[in-house]
Amino acid sequence: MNEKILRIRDKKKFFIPILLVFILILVISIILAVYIGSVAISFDKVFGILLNSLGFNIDITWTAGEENIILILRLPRVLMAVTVGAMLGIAGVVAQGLFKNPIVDPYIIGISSSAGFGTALTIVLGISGLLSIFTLPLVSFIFSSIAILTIYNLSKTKYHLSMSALLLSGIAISYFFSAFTSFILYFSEEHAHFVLTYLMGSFWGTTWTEFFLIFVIFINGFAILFFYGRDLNAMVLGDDSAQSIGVNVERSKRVMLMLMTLLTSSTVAFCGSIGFVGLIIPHIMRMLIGSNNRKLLVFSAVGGAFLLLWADLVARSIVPPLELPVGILTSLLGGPFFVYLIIKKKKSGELL
Amino acid sequence: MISSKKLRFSYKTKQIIKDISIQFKKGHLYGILGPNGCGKTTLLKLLSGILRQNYGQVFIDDINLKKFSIREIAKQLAIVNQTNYVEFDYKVSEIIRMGRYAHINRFSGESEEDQKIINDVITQLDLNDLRDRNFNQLSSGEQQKVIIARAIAQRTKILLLDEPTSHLDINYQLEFMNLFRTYVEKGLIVIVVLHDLNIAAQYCDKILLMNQGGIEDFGEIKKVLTKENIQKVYGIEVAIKKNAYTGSIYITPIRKYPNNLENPNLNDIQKKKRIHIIAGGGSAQNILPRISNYDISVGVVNLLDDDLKLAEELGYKVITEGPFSPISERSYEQLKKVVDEVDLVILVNIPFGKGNLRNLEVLTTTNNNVIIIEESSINERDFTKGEATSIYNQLVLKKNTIVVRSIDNIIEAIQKEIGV
Repeated sequence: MNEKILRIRDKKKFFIPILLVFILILVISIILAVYIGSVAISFDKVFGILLNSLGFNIDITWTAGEENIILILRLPRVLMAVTVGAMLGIAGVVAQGLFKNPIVDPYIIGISSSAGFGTALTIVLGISGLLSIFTLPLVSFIFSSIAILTIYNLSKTKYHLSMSALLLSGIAISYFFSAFTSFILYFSEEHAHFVLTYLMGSFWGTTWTEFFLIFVIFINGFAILFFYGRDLNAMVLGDDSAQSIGVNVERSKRVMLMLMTLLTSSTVAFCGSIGFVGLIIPHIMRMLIGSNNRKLLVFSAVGGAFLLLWADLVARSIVPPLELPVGILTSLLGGPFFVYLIIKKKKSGELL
Repeated sequence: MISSKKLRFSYKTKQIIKDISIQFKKGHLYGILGPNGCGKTTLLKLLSGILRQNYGQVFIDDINLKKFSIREIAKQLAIVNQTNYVEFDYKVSEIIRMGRYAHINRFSGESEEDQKIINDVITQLDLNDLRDRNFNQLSSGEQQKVIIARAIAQRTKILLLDEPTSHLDINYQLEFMNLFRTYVEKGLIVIVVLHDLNIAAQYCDKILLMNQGGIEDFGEIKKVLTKENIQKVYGIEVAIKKNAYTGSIYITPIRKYPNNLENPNLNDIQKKKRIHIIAGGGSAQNILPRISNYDISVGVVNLLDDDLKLAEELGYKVITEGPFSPISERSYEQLKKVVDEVDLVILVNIPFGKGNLRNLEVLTTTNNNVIIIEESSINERDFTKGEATSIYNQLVLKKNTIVVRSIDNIIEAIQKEIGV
């Protein structure tokens, strides 16, 4: 009897169907996003092209131009938005978990401005081809790592991580790197406009190679972080507490911090700063499925993908023929959401 | 068994743990006591490998703790820390589940056995009703219980707990201590940092009394929790009674009347002043706590007298006589000597019969300072057909004698007589 009750209470099984529904919606959204665009291509043609590229023989005809629009312009871009969204979602989960603070995301603690500086520097110096496609993400990662290590060590005391020190040093580092970015852009007028637009965040002109590189980083990062999900859960009660149940806290933290930095900085390198996804998505998902970080990682990946896919779709169709940088749109969404969080925290008395 | 050898730990230049060598054995409940900041928490953290010592070793079953990985340590010992704040919403069952971390491979899920252990612990600790509740919404007692459950789910041989009962209601304190006892009976080593001396005295097998980072005393309760040790470590006066019902000792702090707050040096001067109290039949109970700063002796009182019990609990010298017997020649001679030696004699408001008349007589033999407390007339207390009254009336007229009508004036009178 008791056993039975326990088993019914175990809601584990409900998560798989919910997840499948989410993924289904995401796939439909991807197809929709590929269909929508400034050049109208009928739905059956879009389907035909997609299925054909997957190796099916379809009895519909289309022009080479239409195929190019779908397969070279739209599809990589949409998939890039999906992947970057997923990366920012899980990076947000890790940041909030590591710093035990629900109003932290990789952007607030300065990863975007440092990665942005790395990107700007690479472009301005004209060395983005030095290590072919790897140059940009590598330089961004290096600068972000410098930023995150500085912030982490500044805010770490012997016994705990000081939240105020973390946020303050995050702000300081952000300003510092932003100033550096402005500095180099000021002296290189020919790149200034391009770099600024680039850093505002956009999926315009995504190539398949870029997508594959990002996708590989995503898959590996996600897989490793998933297996560290239990560590992240354990750390919620404090480092000592986590260590007492067997977590190698220092090592876990290093791994997760590094992966979070890699995930975020590589999205900045290819798509610029796309703020607030890492803040909003883990929050919404936590309300939906609870705080267990393993589940949260999976759901935040799907949720982030979904959010950024639609944000990109809106950004490129809201003021045609112009394209709005998607970063502007997410920040427009994220700003009010952040305010909402502050109000909520204030009401519950957590904010002093 | 868990033991330490010459354990030392410093934080910056401050030495927090000084040369602690100790052994904790299977099937015992150990209590660690000591004032705030004496290194109790640090010792637990060193024993559990959360902090690393500067010098010395920790052994689990004679294997150096350094040879264990963090994961292996978590299979040997579980520790419950003082704070358990959780930022995010976790369900109770999720928190308890974390206790199995060390037993689960990173790449696999919980086994049937893990599930069973988690369910067992939840049932044992009666947490079934809470299992789907949000941890942050529980009362602090319930939260502590969940954290203890998590530690128990680790299925270790050793359980360390850092003040698990602080800030909790008495029902939780007792529930937890009983719980620890059941695990001790199962063969675990349980080491608990406590702040309540009486809870420790009632439940623990052995006490480690720490002071300034070192061991003040270690062993059986009656050996460790003495008036002297407590005075030394906590700097307070206590009375230690044996509880007739439970058989354990009971410690009561003695109320200090704050007479010397302006001049703390007075305490030392007063300590050197000897006062003898002539009392009996429980009459000393009101006066003794008020004059605890002085060096006190009491007598003559009969064995089994309430005043004798109190004086002994307080650790005073007492001149005694057999139960219900008149004062003998031997006791009288002792009393006579004491009455001359001390700085002041206080005669409490007691009734006189044939048996204790000598307590009154003795005062005629001395020229020492005497305070007589007269809360009721001597006539009402005279059961010797006037003999006591006549002696009493002589005494009242003597030089160096003060009569006070109320015990509230006693301090003033003492100061008039002996200056401090």
